[in-house]
Amino acid sequence: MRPRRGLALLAGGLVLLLFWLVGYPLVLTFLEALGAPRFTLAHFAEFARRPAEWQALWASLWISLVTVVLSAAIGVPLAFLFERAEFPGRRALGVLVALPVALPPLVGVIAFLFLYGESGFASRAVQAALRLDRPPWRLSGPTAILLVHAYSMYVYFYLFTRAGLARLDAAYIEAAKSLGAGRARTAISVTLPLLSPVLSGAALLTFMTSLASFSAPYVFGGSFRVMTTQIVASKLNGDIELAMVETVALAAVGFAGLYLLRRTEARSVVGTVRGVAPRRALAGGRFAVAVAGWLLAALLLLPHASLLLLSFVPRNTWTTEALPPVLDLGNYASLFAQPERLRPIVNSLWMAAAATAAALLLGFLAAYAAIRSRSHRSGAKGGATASALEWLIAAPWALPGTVFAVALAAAFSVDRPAVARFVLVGTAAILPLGYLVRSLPLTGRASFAGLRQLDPALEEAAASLGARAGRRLTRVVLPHLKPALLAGASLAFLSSLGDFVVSIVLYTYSTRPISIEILSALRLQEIGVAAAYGVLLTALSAAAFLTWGRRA
Amino acid sequence: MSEFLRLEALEKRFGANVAARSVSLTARAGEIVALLGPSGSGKTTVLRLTAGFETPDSGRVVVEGEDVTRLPPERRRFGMVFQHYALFPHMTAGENVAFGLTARRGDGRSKSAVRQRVAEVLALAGLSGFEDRRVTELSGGQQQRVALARALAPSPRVLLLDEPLSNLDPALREKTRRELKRAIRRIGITTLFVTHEQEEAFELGDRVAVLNAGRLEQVGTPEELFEKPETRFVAIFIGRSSVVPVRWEQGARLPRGPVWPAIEGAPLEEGSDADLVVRPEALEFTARPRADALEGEVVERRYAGRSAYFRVATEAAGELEVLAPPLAAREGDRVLVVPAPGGPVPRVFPRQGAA
Repeated sequence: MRPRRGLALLAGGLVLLLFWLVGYPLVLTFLEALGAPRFTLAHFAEFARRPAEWQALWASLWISLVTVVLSAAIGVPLAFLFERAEFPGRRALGVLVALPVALPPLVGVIAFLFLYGESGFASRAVQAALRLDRPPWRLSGPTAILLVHAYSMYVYFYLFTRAGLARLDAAYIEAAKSLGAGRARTAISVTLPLLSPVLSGAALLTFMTSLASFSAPYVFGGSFRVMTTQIVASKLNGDIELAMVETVALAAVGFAGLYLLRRTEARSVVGTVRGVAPRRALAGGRFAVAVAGWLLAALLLLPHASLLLLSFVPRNTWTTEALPPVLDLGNYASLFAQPERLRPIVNSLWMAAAATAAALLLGFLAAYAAIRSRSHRSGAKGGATASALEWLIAAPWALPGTVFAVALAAAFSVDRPAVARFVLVGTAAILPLGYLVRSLPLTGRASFAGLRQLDPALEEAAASLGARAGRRLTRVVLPHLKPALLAGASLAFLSSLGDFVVSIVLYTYSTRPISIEILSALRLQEIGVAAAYGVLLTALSAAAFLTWGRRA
Repeated sequence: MSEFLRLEALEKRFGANVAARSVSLTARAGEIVALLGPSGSGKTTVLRLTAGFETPDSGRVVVEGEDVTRLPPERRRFGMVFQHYALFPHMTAGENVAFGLTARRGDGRSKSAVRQRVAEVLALAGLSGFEDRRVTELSGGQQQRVALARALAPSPRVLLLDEPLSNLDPALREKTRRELKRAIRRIGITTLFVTHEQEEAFELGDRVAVLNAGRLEQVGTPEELFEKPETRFVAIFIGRSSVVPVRWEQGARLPRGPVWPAIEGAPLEEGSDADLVVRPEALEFTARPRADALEGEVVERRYAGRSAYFRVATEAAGELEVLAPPLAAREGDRVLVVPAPGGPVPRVFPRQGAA
């Protein structure tokens, strides 16, 4: 019975550690919002009294809802096109179209700024073409936020719908046709209803991501505030208790979302693979569809092309021309030649690497302990531990990054070792810790998924052949999990590398990451340098995503 | 009655794989035709070509004199029952059945007419009052009948069934088969159905089309297929049989043995190597030594009620299966096998591999 006791110890230890990292800061935030140690509802009352708070909460909600509608309007038709039609370049474009999801949000935002902003390429082109004396539009407020959201989040609908369509039994479609239903009727009354679990999953994911979105509202919002920017503003103003209340409010909305998501996931998906509908080679429209597809891909890559172009523009050389007159590698050279500019790159790399390694280890151990204690049928206690582990791993995914950043800042700015609180804010440890918490769901989910697919009989077979626990792990379990773990780790690494939400709350000058440096370069009008950082981040992220991330 | 549905030289390739090689087949109005063959024989492809889910590389599908080859499935007015039924899981049984009645705008059916038709077809399928049941709550047999009702509701010209009974457990299959036949007969609809089970094909089909490797081997009534197989494949595939290598001498010259009466399944040259396909019913045991007897040992006896199948290993001709009274022999007995008078006359086909 010793191995089982070892497992229980491991599981128990992990629950404590993960609670300290994930749950404890949230609890402390809630207590501070209540004004601990003298409990009062005054801060909540203050929150409720201010119209600005309600406006921000309402803004968060409606922005998220409209984002869902826009993303669906782009992503679903795109998925049908790529899953059901056959045209030259379909495969390559299909991957390219999913790429925006892998790019750091802040980079997407500044790329949009450089393309459609007041002095961006598109605005300049329109201004020059129409001989206007000022830019034709301003990229700001809710419209700008929604534009960026739709651009980066349609991918959820696209990927989910494609997966759903691929799994859908073709016989349903054929049955509808044999009963006389045309293409539109089949889509509306058969295909879409059958896809509804997938679509509601994508809708909730988009909603949650939009709710947590920080970069776009921060850069484009101006006086238009959503909850995430409101929290950071309150914190910067020193209104700590109010920030805590706001955080609790946002967390509550996030948890409601997670609850809904779990319910839709629990609902069984109808329609399994039996036959797969043959792709229609679009005989007449084949060429037109291919052209449209390539144009679309170009449109999607345009922001990043702008970013790339701007990264070659030396400072103060581009004034009124439609296209920059001078291009060189000076900005890139300065990133590596000037220690002050190299610093953020080194910071981001080591902090993301450390966070990813720790998240990989913790995520795997938690998943292993949870799944093994469930499969050993160690009664209700094993089940409860397993559920606790799964919830602790999933929670940071459901809660906006701002919530965790504020919670970590609250929990670890006090030195009280007796209640497991230490001063970490201001040290080099706090940012990797923040990234680690944000990465746990990515590595953890990958491990859970991989282990669930692993037949327990494989490990039992290894044991019956005399392999001890360590050998079973290295020779049987880990080789099977390698693709899943790599995918999870690469997503964790690229999301930590490009993080902006957590960083802006927790960074110090000496630990500033790339995203913070991009922002300060923008403030100093160092557009070329900001763009060069952006290109660097994009290249690293895209490489990681295309190499390992696509299986996640 | 003249032909109602005609498949003309249908040809379909999937890459290098030829799924249908010049398949031609006709069905009279109200006739039930079974497409029978082993898996991979192309029977499902022929059905899907007929339905319009696949487009033939060449050949035509003609119904009532109208060429529908280029018509998409939704405009053919063919009803289809799918192997796993493909009942829409987000609709009730009634909504499923009504789907084809309201599929096209301007069908001109009023709501009450649709409701009445749904009730009528469900009643035909023996499911009166099942309109509001969720299809996921129905048993396998009930789902099968809803699928049939749904296919029949819009009064299609042709009914297509893809392995309609394969999803049911054996006990239910026989009962459902009889009900299915009765329902189809009552409507009198021309029907094409796919099966890999000979018993199903023989019971449901007026005629049976045997397919092998994309080729139509023979079309005929069960009796014709059983008693007058036209190809070696049909002779072996239909019913039970033993294959013995022989030489054709206006009879089957067994190796180191006698000549047994047999007829040519295909034209044979005198003295050429051939295969004798002989059914267990065409053989019997004899107690007395005879010139035309083959000697062997019973290696297996399978009891089947009034008779039993005996597998006999002969020195001269390999293994033969013999149908005889259960007590005719025991395992390990030495026996003498001879042709049975009055049994189906064995057929001889050119040796496979030889021309």
